[in-house]
Amino acid sequence: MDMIKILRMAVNNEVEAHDFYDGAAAKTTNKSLKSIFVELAGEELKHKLLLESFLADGGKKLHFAETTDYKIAETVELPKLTVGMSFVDAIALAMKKEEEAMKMYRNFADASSSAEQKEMFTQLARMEQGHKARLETLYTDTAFVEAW
Amino acid sequence: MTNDIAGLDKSDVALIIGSDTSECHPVIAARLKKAAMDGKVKIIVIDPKRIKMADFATIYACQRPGTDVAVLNGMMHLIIKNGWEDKKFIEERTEGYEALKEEVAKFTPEYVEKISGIPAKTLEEIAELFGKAPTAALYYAMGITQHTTGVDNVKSTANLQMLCGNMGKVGGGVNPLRGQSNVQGACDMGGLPNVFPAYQKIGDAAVQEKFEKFWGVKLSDKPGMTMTVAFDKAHAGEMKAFYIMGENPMVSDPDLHHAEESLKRLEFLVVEDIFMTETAQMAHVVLPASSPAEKDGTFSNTERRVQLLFKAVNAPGQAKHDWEIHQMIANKMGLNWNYTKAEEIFDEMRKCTPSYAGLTYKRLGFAGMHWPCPNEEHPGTPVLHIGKFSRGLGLFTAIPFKEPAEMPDKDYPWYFTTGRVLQQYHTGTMSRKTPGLNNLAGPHVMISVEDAEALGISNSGKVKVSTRRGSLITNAFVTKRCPKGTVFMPFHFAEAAANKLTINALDPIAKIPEYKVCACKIEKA
Repeated sequence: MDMIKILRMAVNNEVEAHDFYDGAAAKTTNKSLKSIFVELAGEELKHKLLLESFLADGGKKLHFAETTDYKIAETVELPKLTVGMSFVDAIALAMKKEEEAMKMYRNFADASSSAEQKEMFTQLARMEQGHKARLETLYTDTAFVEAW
Repeated sequence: MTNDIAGLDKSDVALIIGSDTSECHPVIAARLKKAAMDGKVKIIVIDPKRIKMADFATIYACQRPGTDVAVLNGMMHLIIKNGWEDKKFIEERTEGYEALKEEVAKFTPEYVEKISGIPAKTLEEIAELFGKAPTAALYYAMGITQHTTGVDNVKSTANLQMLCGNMGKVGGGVNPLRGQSNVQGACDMGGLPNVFPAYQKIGDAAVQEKFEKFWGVKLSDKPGMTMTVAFDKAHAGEMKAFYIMGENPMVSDPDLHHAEESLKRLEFLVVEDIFMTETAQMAHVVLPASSPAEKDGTFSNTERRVQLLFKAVNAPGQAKHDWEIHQMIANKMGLNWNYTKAEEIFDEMRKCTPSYAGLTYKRLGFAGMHWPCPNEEHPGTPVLHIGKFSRGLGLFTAIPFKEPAEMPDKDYPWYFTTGRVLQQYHTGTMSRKTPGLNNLAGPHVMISVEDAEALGISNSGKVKVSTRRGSLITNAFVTKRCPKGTVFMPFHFAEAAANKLTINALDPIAKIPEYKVCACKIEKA
């Protein structure tokens, strides 16, 4: 697969993710839940735009800084998407989806025979890891309620 | 605390309300005093007594006991009126603002002055200093919670901090200072009537299943009851036995006549403690426990920092670690527990307590770590709610003002309020064994100079203090720190137990007693 095709696939993945959250936001009437789905949809759009900007120059400048991976997504089960899900489960779901995306690109990188392709997938995996890290911080901030 | 102690001097302003910080939390008080003296933090103190922290404050306001909701609503009224609220934070991170705005609209400074006694001009100065501060922290303790409106008071502190956008940032936050060195840890471990460890709800099917599987036993899905309610049940003959650990309700419970009668009606009372307390003296069985210096384990402090406790000396005589006592009882009851040290129990606990999952004895080391810490790679979380609140949007609650359960009247014309002094700790189980501390602080009632003069009472003179629950005679401490019409008594002293006088009126939700307000009468004895 050439670099342009890989980037286009990544853009499509972001569009899919956007549509997923956008649809979830439209379905729920819970104000908190709606707000987080709208925010997550917006985030995916930003990712799409970022990737498109790389696509414009053939993916040559694609580079993401490595973030610390605390592997929090890995400690939770993937919650089922429902209109009545809790706010924290919504964040957990988003976090798990970023984990899935990160792992997918890592697997592609491992399976790549060309160095250039491997580097592209590695960078995309790093990007998803960054998204995962942001959501993990949010999850840690919200999931451990001190209320009785 | 939503925030950590290290970030304390990152505030521009610190509001202390319902916390006699230097008496009850001297370490945090020392940091606040230093921050004020260094010019880093401006302190506002609102309290019925002119507490020592007021000497370090930019503004001190003397409120009538039990008027916190009115005062906080009044501050919010002024902040909104002057446009000092954080509009972006309100828009992006909260809901329920319109209802709050409508409720606080009637709390004009003049109206609040009538309720609280705080001059309208002082309230305006407070609102301006707090409302204009880029970052302001709020500190409270039992002066906020120990009321029949305790839950309302706490919600009001959250309202104020959300209104000003002070949540989720270093130097801000709502910071309740816990009343005991490990009360945070006890609550974290499920030492509450309706939760398992880490506040996982009893009765929630998934949680129930998780713990039944983890512990291998069938568990009740019915929440228990708070201690205050349990005492009422014992009084009514509905509860037959109590097992009390490290607690001395014969000094700390409200309306001690009621507490004593409740304990006497029990068929079986077990007390596990390190000394022969007033409560232990009533027990059928006393189990000698070990003191903090004699055991290993962890303490979780008010900022959610889990800290290791290292044994320094062996426990005397037959005294044992609490976990050893519990294991012996469990095994006598047919179980097969085989723990050999506290760390084994901690490691088991981590598996069912997600917020502690990443904390190991090795990682805690000498400095400790803040929960939530979900796995062993995570560094811990000193400041909460930076990105979001647990429910997503922070919920403003419109809170009307309610008077305390018992107000001064012609028969009992003074406000009676209780608390602590620096030199003694809680019911004095430990601190009163030290003659030096007893020489520094003995039983007394603080009374204003005006009231003392009117009654012919001099310093250290004998005073009879009476409420509808009873009377006692103690020493007068005549001071300018108490306002006219309010007297204060520390509750540490069994021989002049302030809780013989306090009222057993509870907050309807938290069931916490109103230790901070009732009506009393003062006479020269």
